[in-house]
Amino acid sequence: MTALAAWLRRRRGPLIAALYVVAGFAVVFVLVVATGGDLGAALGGWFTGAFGDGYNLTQTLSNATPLALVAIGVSVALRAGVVTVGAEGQLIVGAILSTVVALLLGPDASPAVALPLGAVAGVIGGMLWALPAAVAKIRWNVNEILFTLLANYLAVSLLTYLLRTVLRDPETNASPQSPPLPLPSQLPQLPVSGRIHVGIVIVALILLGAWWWSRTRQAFVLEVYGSRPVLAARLGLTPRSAVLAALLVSGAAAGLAGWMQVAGVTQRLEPSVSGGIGFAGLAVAVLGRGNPLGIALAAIVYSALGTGAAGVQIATGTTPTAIGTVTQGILLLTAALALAALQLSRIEKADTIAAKTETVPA
Amino acid sequence: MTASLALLGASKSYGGAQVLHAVDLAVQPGSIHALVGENGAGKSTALKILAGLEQPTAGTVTVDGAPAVFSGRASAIRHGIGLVPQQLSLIPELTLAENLVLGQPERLARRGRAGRLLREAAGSAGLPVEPDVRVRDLGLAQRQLGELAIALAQGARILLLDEPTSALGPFETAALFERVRSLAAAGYAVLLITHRLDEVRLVADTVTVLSHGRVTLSSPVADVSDEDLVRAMVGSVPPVPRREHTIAGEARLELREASTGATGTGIDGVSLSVRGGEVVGVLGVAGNGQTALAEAAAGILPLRSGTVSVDGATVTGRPDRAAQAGLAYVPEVRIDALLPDAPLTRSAVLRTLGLGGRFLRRGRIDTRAVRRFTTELLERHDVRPRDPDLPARALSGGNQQKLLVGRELDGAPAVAVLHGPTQGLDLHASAVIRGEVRAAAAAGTAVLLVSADTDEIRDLADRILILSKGRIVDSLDAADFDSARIGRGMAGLGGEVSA
Repeated sequence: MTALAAWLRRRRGPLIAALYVVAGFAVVFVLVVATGGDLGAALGGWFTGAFGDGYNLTQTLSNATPLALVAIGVSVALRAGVVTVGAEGQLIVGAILSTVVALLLGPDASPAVALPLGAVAGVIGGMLWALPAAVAKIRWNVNEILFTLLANYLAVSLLTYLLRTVLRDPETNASPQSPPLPLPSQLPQLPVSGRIHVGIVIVALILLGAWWWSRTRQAFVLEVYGSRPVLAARLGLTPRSAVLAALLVSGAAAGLAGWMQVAGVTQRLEPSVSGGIGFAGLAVAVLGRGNPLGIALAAIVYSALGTGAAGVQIATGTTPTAIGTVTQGILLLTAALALAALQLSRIEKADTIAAKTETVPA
Repeated sequence: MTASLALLGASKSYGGAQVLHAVDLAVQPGSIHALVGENGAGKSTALKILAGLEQPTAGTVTVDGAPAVFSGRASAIRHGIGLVPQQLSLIPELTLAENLVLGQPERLARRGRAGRLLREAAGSAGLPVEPDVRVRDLGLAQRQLGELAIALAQGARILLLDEPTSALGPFETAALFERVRSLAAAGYAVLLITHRLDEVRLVADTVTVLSHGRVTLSSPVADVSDEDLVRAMVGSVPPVPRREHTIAGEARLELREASTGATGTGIDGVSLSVRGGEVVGVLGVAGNGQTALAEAAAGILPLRSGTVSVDGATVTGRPDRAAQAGLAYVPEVRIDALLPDAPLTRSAVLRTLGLGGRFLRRGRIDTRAVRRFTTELLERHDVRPRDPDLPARALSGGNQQKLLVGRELDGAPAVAVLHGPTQGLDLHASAVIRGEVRAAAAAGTAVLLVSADTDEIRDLADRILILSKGRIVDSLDAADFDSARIGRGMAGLGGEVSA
């Protein structure tokens, strides 16, 4: 009995974390049952909806692609302790700029020129929207969370304004949207059943690159900056370049995701181009714990919750698709709580070890 | 006579590790009892039990002869046990009176009454405290007295002082001890936790030595020799080698007219140079610009005027250039130089990673080489526990310091700026570290040693500079060590010289 108690005590952190996860599942189940759904049917419906056939699977992967891309950028910033919530706005500006470039290039450009130029325009757009936050933080120590958050609203307004004025499609008057992107600027689809553009290959390569980079000296020093700026300065990274790098990289990734959404998914600029990808990408970065493989998995799970929701509604007949959004929220909440529990127990464990070797002041 | 506070056969285990083995300890009213021992000997655990912060696994605590069980700190306070912790627990944004209110809301909800109580308690004990000044505007020594006054105002008759002098200079230490002695004379029972034998000699009536969780000596101070105490504490202490090499090197570290903008704790027109193989000690009362001097010399603190150079390369305000020029730096607050939550493999390479391609392989960090280096470093410097995957947070202060000094002195740096490298360490660990500083100097490193510890400076330095109010006011050769002259300089009475 005491042995069990001691074992439970030692494993308290993981146990509490597991408890959070179980509680999260329980909430989802309660919601499904409360709306008259059958648990088994709901699960089956979810799986079919998310991975069941080629179309659904590609839909899930296609939605996961920009999430993973945004998350990679955000995770670089998080490494340096810079919390950016501006991916939403950076993605929008990246999408705007790449649309402008595509429309300027027109239908006669070679795809070999139009696609890279569009990508570069997206990257520049994202970085442009991140730059003021970096400058404000470096010069006047303005909080980057606040700045990037507010910049998002500005980006949305800018998008709405442009879609009603210079970027408006003359063909349609009803909805504010841009003309379709000329063919050379559209990302080709992969030759599989379903709809998925080649952007996923690019993101996979970027994930690979991020994995390689995560063990370089640069990545290490950036991480040191996150907790000990003075030590990072000794290793050659000034606060100025750390903040600039963190925000510009995350902006670039978000901007690139913006380009992919326009060139690969909607093929025109719409008011809903961001669709919450910026914020979801931040969530995916946290869920994936900055690890490229973790980010890829988290992005797929997160996106599957959304795409599978339609399947749940079809299978149960009564549970609304909103269950997907609810589950995404619960996933985030439980993940945050579980991660915090694990971290606390790690700190506690370390402190116990230190206490055993003494000199901990009272 | 009945002891005010005593441990009878107290044992304590954490998990599987037993840190106290049937410890007996008695503090008599009207006397000062010193509890000494090395880091890890069990002093802090004994203190925590006496203060009500921990329960003994076996054995009892008695107050005035009667067994007492403390359910926590508050219950110990009700028994009249006051604690002045090593890392002061006052909240800097509040005044002393407000801190007292915080301590016990049920008895004194009003600031005015708390202030009066504090003044009364402090007045009767002769403590010069200001209850209505915010703590952050008080000096370290004043804060310590403030903690003492709060303990008294809470009705303490038994005072536990945990390494009260670790952050104080000689003058503040003397002043504090004077107060403590008069408190004892007034009938208070005092337990002084320390690892400094000179303090035991200076102030304590009786002494108990702990070693590896057992009492190895317990006696009136007058009846034991220093050798007895040292033997009881450590068995044997490795000697610090005296300098044998001649200082023939060029000046490797130079400060020219270095001034920081900050008033009060900055430095003002400091010029000094340290040659290869030389150890220059900077001595001064805490708060006279030591931190600014060390940080400026390490290239961290930007200067308003003046320059810092390492081997002729200007590194003023450029920590990266300083590191590249081969400058090692041990800051005053050791955890600032380590990554508390990352594995030790990361903290261990913080100075050298990537310098000349070290620990890199095809552009990436060579984790195997890093691990090998870390394991070797932990072994060489006897850092415990010897596990490279632990976070730095899992090391005790002394072990963190050993790791830090080991890391910085690794590979014969050109210059080493060391700020209190043995602060808070026991005799054995400080002897090891002092030996390493000597060895680094013998290998040609120019060492600038900033310390409030006169013994440390005396042990190591070839030349001693006195820092007072941010200026170098005296400079003398180690051979001419003269306590009176040094005391005068530290008190700001010496003439000004250039070193």
